Amino acid sequence: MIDVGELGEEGPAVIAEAAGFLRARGMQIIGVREGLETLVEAASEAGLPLLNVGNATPVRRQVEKSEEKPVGGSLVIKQPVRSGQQVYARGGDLIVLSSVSPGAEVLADGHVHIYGTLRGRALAGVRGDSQARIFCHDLQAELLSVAGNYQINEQFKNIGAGMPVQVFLDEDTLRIEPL
Amino acid sequence: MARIIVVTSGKGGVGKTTTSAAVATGLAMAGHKTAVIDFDVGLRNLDLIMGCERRVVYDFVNVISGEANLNQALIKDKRVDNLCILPASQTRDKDALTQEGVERVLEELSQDFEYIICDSPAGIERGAMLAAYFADEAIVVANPEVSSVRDSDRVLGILASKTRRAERGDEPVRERLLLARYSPQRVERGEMLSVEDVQEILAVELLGVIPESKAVLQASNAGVPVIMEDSTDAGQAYQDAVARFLGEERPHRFLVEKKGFLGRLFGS
Repeated sequence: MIDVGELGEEGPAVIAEAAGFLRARGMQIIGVREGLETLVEAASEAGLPLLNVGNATPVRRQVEKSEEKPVGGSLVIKQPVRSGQQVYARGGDLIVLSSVSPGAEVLADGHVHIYGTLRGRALAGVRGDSQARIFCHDLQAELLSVAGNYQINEQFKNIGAGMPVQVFLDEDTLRIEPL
Repeated sequence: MARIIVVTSGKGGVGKTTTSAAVATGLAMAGHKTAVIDFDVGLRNLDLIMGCERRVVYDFVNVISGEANLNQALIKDKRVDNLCILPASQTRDKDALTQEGVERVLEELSQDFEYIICDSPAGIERGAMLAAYFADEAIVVANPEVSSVRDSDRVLGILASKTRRAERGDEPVRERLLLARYSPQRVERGEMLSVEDVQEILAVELLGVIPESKAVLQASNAGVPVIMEDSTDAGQAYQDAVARFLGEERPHRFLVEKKGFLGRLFGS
């Protein structure tokens, strides 16, 4: 069993390659279960049958369950997002009223707003919305991504620490600006 | 109905068992009937720290599998009334713990005790999950060091999502932080995270700060819970933590380097 649920933007390419790799070694692939829509599409293109796609959701059940239903397409998280947790606002904005710890990941199809310190990873516009932005009160992120254009901490580490900033896409370049 | 308290950390060697022994002893000394359970099946330690290793006949796993009843396995502490220890098995592995079995033992203990302390094993595998699952309160032990803080953060996330309270949608597990092996001198030199740094990352109520102290190792080797060593800084810090646990307001001590008069008063 191979878990592809955590694959990000490169997922589709990886799936096609993995399918070829496994078949070349005589392994039979039974099918694909669960994953982002782009992954599921890629899987069917690679000739893999889909199992149980109706249940597909990248949001961990724990997170989904502990939060109220999204209002107007956005998801509001009142607790800190801790290491190892992942929160995904499908089809809308994500608003985190607390901090995002190192090793945690927050994703949204729309904007990501963080009213505490961002120490983990934040990905806005994960289904390709290049207008999506990330806002946070203190930027110490491990990774920032808007519509698949990402930067890791090494590339921006001195920018945005200790002050409110926004992150947006300017012609395929990620820009970090103080608010 | 007893309050079930898990002492957990994620990372190993940060002071979970020392804390379990100290807190359990402290609660018992304050007059509360307390049981402390070692969940670290296969790596029995709590009985050593509590100084009752020679009196172990039956253990937690024997009770779960029905080979002994609870009264046969519980060891009454000789120094403190109201305190009982349920040791882990040295010979079994963690698969011997079942959720139903743990629930049954906790329910039975709840009839007689006010507080049940679950000393969690390190990691986030089965033993640690079961130790946390039934908890009403959690004491998360961390050291002022980045990997320990990261692991504690992970454990706090698990407490908020994978416990019985979370699954039933009850009031969440009350989480409190105990920062152990704290050295103000090293914080001042920038070699260690400060209390403020750790609290900012973990955003959780602070139960106490235990200073790095030789007394802890000495007490462990002697099989005496360090909280009983009234004259030591670590012992006093644990006494403060237990008082805070029981709702008393006490200022945090041992956060700055001891100097002059205080240094002589508390020793080192």
